[in-house]
Amino acid sequence: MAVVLLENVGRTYGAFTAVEGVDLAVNKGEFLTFLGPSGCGKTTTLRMIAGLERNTSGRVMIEDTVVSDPAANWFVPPERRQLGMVFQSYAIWPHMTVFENVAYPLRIRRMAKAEVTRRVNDVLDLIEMRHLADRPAPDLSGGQQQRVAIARALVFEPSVLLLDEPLSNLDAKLRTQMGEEFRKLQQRLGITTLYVTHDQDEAMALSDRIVVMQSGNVLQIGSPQQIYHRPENLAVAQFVGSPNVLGARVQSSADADGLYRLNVQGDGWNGTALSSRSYGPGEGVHVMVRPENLRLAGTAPVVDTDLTFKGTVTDLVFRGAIYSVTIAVASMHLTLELPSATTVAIGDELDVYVPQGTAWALDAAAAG
Amino acid sequence: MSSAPDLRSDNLSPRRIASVRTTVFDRFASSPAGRVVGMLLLTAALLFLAAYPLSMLLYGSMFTAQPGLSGTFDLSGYGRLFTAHNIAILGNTVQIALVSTGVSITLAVLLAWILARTDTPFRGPLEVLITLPFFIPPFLTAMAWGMLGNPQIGVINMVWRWMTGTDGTIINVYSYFGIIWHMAQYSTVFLFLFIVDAFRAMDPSLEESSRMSGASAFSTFFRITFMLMLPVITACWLLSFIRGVEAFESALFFGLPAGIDVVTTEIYKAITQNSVPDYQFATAMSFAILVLMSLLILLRWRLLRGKNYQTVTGKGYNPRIMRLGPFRWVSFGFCLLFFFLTVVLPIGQLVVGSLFKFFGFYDLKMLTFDHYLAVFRNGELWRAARNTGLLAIGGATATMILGSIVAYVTIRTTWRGRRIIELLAWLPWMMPGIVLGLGFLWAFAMLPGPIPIYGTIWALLLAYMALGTPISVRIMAGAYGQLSYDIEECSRVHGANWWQTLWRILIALTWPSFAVGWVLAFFGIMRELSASILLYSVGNEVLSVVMLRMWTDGKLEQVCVIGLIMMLLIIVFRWVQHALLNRRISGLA
Repeated sequence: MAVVLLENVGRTYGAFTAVEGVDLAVNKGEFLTFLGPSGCGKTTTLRMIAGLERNTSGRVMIEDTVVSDPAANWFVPPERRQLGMVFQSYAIWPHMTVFENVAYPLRIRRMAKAEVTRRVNDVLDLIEMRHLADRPAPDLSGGQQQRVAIARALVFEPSVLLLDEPLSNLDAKLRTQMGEEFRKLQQRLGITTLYVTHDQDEAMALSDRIVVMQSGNVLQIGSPQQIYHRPENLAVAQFVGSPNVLGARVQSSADADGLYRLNVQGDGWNGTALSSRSYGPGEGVHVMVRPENLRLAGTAPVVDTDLTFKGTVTDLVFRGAIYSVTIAVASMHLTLELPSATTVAIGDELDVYVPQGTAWALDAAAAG
Repeated sequence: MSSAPDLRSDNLSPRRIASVRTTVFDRFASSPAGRVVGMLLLTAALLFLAAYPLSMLLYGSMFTAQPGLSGTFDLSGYGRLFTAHNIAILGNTVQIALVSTGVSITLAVLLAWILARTDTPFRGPLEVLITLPFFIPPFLTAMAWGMLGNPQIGVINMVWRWMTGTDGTIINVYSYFGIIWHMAQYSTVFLFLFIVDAFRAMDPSLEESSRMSGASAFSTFFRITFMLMLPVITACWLLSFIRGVEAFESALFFGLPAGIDVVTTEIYKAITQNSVPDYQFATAMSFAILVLMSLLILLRWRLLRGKNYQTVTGKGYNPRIMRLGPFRWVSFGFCLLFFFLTVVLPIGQLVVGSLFKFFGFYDLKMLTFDHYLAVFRNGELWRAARNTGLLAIGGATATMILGSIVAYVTIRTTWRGRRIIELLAWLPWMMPGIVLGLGFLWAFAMLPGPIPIYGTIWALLLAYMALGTPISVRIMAGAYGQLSYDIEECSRVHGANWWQTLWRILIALTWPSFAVGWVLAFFGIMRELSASILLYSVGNEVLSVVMLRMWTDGKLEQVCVIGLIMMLLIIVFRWVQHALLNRRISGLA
């Protein structure tokens, strides 16, 4: 059963289209992330689900109830959608204490006083903030404000929790820590969560599924692994990480466990790559190779490779755990990552290979 | 409203951190001698503008004779304050100020909410129209309303009699009602300008998260929006009350003829309407009102302490707009009605009044342009217009330069003595115009012979500067406060020296605020009456004083002509300001 269902949802501002034709079904207990660069429409989509923004086309349903359908002139205001939301600025009300902030959703619902106290204390325990209950809200640190915002969103046990870039105002270390804490909390409570971020590491680490968006359109919906290793188009491949993309022609293709294995021929190299569909001989494709999947060929002979290259090191960046190495192969450049203990210098001749199953072919037409 | 978030410091922190860092100015002025000389000059100028007239007021209140004559010292001036009559005057003053504040704050919140947060049609033009009264001198609208609401021959009463066929009187502006109505018109617009910004600058997610927590739009307004605005509204309430106590024109035009006295008109009467001006009583009363003012200001500080919620985090927000449905035409009508009552009616009266031979006799046969001719042939008027123009341009420029320097020193340096400078520059704020005028009257008269300020146009200029400085400092402090220190430092790091940084970065970024402040100071001088009336001398009259004299002489028709010309000037000026500045200011000012 889909807890949140979007059908062809769009939003235009005059002539400008912010979001276009989004179809999405969010399952119960799922952690789903909208990922994309700023201005891609991810926040607008979240706000349309919240009811803070009206969709101009399509339908939004929450728990099998239509909450917005402009065609039928139907709109349920945000306060009647029973959702919890955490804002990027946290939106902690400065004229209330921590306790009052968290109690607000319950008091609005006219819950009995004793029940309010019990529930607020429970949720403050959950985020380990009970000792700060009487603190005026402006006296909190960024991380504490973020916890209070989460507590406020959870306190009335909403069916869906919405989060709009909740970690982006924190520093890097705290961001990782808060992200992990939040993921654990989410799994413990089993609450359906919609999350907006532009940070791909965050999206990978937290999500069950990721919705990649660009220019108001959904590019791909899938698990973090699918998004990373099996992107459906070049835009997704290039947004997540910085892969090598090599132009090539298909020589032949064959079934391989529900995917297809292609023999491809590039400029001065050839080998195999996996793809999601079959191609006819002579068709152009893009072959995506992630830098960490390029390995140095040792003295032992390598077996089961997709591709092999021989090139000269032209650039070398030390990054602590790894070296980022650029090698020139014929007319193109490849980047690869090597353990930083490797001995390598500019001008070295390197033999590198791509292990079988890690080169991924995409439609060449989708380039751009 | 697009804004420039990257120019503002620390826009992510929910509370702006008031850290004081060393600036390039510090390093520039690191030569101690130069800095000390500069600070001494600035302090001396401010002492002369603020502290000197204040101390002369105290001196005058204990001196039995007029300035310059020989007398003795006693406390009889203060003794004479404690009469039943004076207590009643104080009661009147407080009562009028309270009622007009109540009326205007309600109107201002309503108007600000309509224009900032609803989908009322034509909000942009409405806002310009509604704020127009702010730029019209109060004595002009007072004169217009004096004619409109005249109980015998006022247009409103005549229209009423014509419509009903009776001979009743529905409005008499020479009454408590008249004073309060006139005062409320001004303070509504004044408060509106404060409140509308607070409504706009609020982080909309504070309200959105309330909606997401299950609160309705109505409930959110009272529990969140209104509560967050409460500090601003309290501050405005006190500000409006203080201005109500200081108000002069409303009580002068409508109270004096009706025998309703307030503190400011009582001071005015003591000096101008006695055969021998009673300076001691007037200064004692002035000093007493100053004490009352400072108590109110202390109260304001107490109330606001720790209540500054900083809902303004420096981002360019798109405030949440509420859909009113068909009611949006009701709110539109309400705004239009306010504009009609405060601008169209008075201007209409001036137009009509200027074209008929005698005020109150509206017969087509009486149409004439004689009054225009009379005005253009009046040499005294031309002189007054020239004086006013010169004083307004020169005074506004001088006030803003002084204000910019004071604001820079207090906001962006860590020099010793900057707190004293801040306090001195703010001191005139609690002095009503008539009190400041009286203080300067004494101050100039007590200057040693070779400094001939008394009886010259410089007396007016200095008084105007003193009156305008607190506002100019505030505006410029606001402008500097929005610039992060990085902006100055970055310029220095990239090779600009202090002067280049000042010119290319600071001035380039703050000139829109400077221009706004200049326009405010300009109109402040144009409308000034209460201090001018004590400090002008023959040959150095300003328009407001001349018009008041013509009004009391009964030349109402010519007053209408001058009023119209001033109004035209104001509208042109406002339009130019709007057209030239608004685009650039929106982000910064």
